[in-house]
Amino acid sequence: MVLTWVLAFGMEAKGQGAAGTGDVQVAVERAIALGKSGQFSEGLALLAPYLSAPTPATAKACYVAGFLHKERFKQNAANADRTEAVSWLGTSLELDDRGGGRAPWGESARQAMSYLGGTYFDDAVLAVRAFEPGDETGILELFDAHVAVARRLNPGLDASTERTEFHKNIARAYHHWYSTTGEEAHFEGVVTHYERAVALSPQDITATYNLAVSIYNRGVALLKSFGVETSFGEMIAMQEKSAAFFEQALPWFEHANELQPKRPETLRGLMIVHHSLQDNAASEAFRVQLENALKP
Amino acid sequence: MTSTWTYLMTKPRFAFDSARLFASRRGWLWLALPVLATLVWAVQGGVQDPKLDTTDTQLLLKGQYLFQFAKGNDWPEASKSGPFVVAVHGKPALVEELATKYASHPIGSQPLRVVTVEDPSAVGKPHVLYSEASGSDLAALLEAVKDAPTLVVTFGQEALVAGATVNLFGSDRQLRYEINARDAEKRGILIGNRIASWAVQR
Repeated sequence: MVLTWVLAFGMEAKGQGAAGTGDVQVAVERAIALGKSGQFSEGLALLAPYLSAPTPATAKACYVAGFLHKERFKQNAANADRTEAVSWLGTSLELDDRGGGRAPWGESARQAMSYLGGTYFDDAVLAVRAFEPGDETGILELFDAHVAVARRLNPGLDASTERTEFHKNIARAYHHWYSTTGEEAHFEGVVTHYERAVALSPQDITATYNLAVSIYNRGVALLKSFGVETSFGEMIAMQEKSAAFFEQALPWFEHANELQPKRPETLRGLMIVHHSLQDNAASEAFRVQLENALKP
Repeated sequence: MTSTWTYLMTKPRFAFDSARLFASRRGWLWLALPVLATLVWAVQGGVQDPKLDTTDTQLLLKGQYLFQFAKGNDWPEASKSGPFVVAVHGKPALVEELATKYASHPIGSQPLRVVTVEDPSAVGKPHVLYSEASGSDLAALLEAVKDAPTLVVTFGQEALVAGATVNLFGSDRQLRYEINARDAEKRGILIGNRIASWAVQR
């Protein structure tokens, strides 16, 4: 932490990359000095008068403010500081860009942004790992914040693959919950997030296959709940409902098979879903394909 | 912090290199996020991809149908003592399904017993006989329970075979059944209203 601070300002303490003239420059230098001694809030208070209407002349003040917020975030993990840090660092870079992007602190500002973006990503991953139903909005907000920072540094960045991974992992987390609770809402979470993953990455076979399996398994679970207490009418209704899940799963299995033909897991899925849809001829055809696919 | 700062000021090169290293790590992060995400979550305990449930769903349905047929129809008085026998021909998995899930539940006042039948001559007079056989094997079974108060349930026949009471078959992506009411009547079995009403006509 100290290393980063030293790097950012150590070589500029004598006026390299001047913040401007007069009061602003003095305030910036004093804020840097306060920051070096850990007095982030005091440094920010000094800069405050120069941040109300940022101009290229106060770009360095914005950068230092962002840096001070970043350091305070590292100290207290307050999200508000992270948000402010990203905002001021972004502003400083925009102002610098307007002036030709030659500020000596530009690279340091980008490194600080990169660090902050990484913390958003890390927090999003941690949130998925500790997932509870309903957390997905917050997780995706963290991910979006991460992407926003990444795009500030690399405007051409395509984050759809990463977003797909997040949706897949949220779906997996929901699956974990559904396995324990059997709650319909948790099943819906599984399907919703696999569908979003597939919408973002139609070629993603894992998402496609997992979506198919999740829907299919839901139909099987209904039939497995048959027991001595099941009435005839309930049996008929449950069979209809399960058949609807099997029909819903079938196109996803077929899509997975198009994406990667002869994949044994998919062929097994197609064999089984056709069997469950009472189409024994089609099931047998996929059994033969599976047998061939498994031949050495 | 101040003392560290003072020390580091004498080592600007070192500080610079460390920061570059840090920047480099983050730079790598942007490029390698898909891989990173996968790696991070690959080691995540407890949360895995769903596994395909390979349970034989046709078996679940057949078991439930046979149980419903046992519960929902009425047998002659002479058949209402002793165990209620469901005989399954050549389908051990179905015997296991029935025995595991339903055998503890009586049919009326009769304990349910599920038995396996291989040899048609040893069929006896079960209350329900289920077979997926066809041709001469099925004919031999039907002959063995001819005129007995036995609900004969077949599977997948193109049409109701003479001597069979119920035929289960796949239709419209579901397992449905048709009933030979005359055969049931001949055997003295009264088909329940609900069962009769859900039967399919072909």
